[in-house]
Amino acid sequence: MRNASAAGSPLTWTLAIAFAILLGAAITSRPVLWRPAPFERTRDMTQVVFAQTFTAAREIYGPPPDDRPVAAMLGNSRVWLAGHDPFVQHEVDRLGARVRVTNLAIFGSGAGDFEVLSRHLEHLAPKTVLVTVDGTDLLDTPGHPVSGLPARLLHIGWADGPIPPDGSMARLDRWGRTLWPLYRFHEFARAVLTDRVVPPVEPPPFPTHFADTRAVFEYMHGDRGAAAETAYEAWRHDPTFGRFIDYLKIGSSSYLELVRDRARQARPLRDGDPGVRALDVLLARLVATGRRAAIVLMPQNPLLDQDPTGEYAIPGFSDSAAAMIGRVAAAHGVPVVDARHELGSDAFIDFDHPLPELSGFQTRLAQEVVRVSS
Amino acid sequence: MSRREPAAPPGAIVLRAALYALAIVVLVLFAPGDGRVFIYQGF
Repeated sequence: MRNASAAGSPLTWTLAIAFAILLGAAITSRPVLWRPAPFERTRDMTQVVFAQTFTAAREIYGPPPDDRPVAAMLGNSRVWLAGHDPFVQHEVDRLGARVRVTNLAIFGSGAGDFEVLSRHLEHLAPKTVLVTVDGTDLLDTPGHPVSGLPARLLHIGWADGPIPPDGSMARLDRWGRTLWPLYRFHEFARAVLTDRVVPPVEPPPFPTHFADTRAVFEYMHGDRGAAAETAYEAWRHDPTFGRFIDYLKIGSSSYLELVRDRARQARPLRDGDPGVRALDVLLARLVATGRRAAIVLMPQNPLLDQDPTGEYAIPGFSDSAAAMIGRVAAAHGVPVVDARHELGSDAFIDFDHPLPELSGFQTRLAQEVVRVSS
Repeated sequence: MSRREPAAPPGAIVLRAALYALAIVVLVLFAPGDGRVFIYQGF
């Protein structure tokens, strides 16, 4: 009788909700959820986007290592590799600036993902934000969605954003994530819990130094690294478009497929496209919250101009997309750094990604971080 | 004529509330969501 009265009592339920909120706050607290987790270093391409989204969230919600003003970089694999924090931080330090660089890039993310990530930036309060983009990051095609897993994992906000939710369940999910941090981070909390209970074999961290391209290929392709290096050297001796494709076929056949799909499905950007709207909202938010922002148009491999069949290139797209990005940025008074043509083809791993460290692009990023921060 | 149910002791209420809270948190943690799998083809 007494138990039955405790079970249904409003007091019991009120207390239960209070306890659940407290327990949730403990689980999502800095010492519990936001410590580096072994799964962040995964090399498994089926898990890398989840892992990098957790890393970006940890950079935002975790304890700051020091009290220096923060410069955050938004972007995808282009800047994840070329702008790896230690590379850029080294250059920023060399320039004598008191700024801490944090790279919030996530593989495969597009303008919609950048915009959703920016909704969390108030917790990091960066002084400076570099939005690193390529025109294709604003595309929304089946093979190249403008937002993906990062946006779904980190979706918060009461009102619909620039990209409307995919049905009422998605809206409900977003409200749940907005209301309760435990629900917002429940996938991360589950992954962290799993890692703590059954610690995985921890892969080595991303190197802080690459001596040469062989080291890059060995890191990226493992057993196929030596073959990729041989094919890369063959292209260096005979620098034709065909040789470069031969090299990419060794270690990056799925990437080639991605680029072909992108070229096939792309069409010129227009006002009102989801990616354009997302960039517009992102820049408006950065300006409204007092961030010093700049857009960096990321380098493109000049070899694409030699594509004889147009199988991989999108003729005229780069310039028209840059013009569109420039118009959106100008509307918010955000400067655009056009670095599209700043690197030679031997500074690239493929058509999109500058070589980490060896391309030297970290110096350019550091210069922009310092310029915009000061 | 209804008889008033005797009030549950505070200890029973707190214990039951703690169990409910634990159940709520476990349900939220294991609620459907986006798992880790998302194949990245960019390399």
